[in-house]
Amino acid sequence: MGQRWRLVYYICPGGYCQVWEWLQDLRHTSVRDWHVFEGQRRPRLEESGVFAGSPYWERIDDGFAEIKWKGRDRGNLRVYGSAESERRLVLYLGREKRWSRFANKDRRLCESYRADFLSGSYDEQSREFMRCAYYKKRG
Amino acid sequence: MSYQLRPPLNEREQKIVDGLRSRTNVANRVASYRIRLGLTQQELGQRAGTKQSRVSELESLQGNLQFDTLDRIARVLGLEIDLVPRVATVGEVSTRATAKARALFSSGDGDTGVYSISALSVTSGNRGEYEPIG
Repeated sequence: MGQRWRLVYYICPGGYCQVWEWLQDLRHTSVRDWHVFEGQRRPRLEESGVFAGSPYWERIDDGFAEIKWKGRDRGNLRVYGSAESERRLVLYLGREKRWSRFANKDRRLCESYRADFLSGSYDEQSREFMRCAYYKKRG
Repeated sequence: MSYQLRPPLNEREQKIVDGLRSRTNVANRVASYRIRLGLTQQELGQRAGTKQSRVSELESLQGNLQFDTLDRIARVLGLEIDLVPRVATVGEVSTRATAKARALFSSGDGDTGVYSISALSVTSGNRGEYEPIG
């Protein structure tokens, strides 16, 4: 077994983390749906990364991919991300999918998040610190 | 809302996750072997004589797959179905039945059918791989 992959939640400069917040919300509304991600999708992605294929890591376009699962209590659930250097799978957005294609609004958001992530100023540790401070403040 | 990256599960959440443990173990084993063999869900479904949607349901902890279907899927992946003694989760007291099952299992006489076993697992036939922990 080769080196493991790492799932990274993208964190905005101010500390807001959409994917983390969305997963927490999912956990509160449907533990079962949340567990499919944490207990099933995550281990496979950490093991096989981009080679896991659909529905674990399905490439869409422009370098993005989606993690898919069908919610039992909610609709079709998606997490959008991209594969980056050092075996990192960066997750930008979590959504309950309502459209058949990658919505333009979501695409633009993912593109801007990715541009920030790939910029030299993105530091995972300091963003994590910002995230903790942001959510601690929000309670 | 807790600001920890992975806040611990509360009692209600833990109960739901524990209830899904067998399904999760089976789904993870099937998915792991399928990916290692380079098969898509569709190809696995075809080889096992079932639909892709059944494989998808299995890997998404949904549906109630027939035993025969699961058995066929396991065979395609070079696996077999077995029952293993349940491993108690955190805070759960090990029952006499579980203890007895573990003792029988480790002595290799696990087919007497006198104990209660609740964990279903797809195994690769290597007994050492799923020996009870602690």
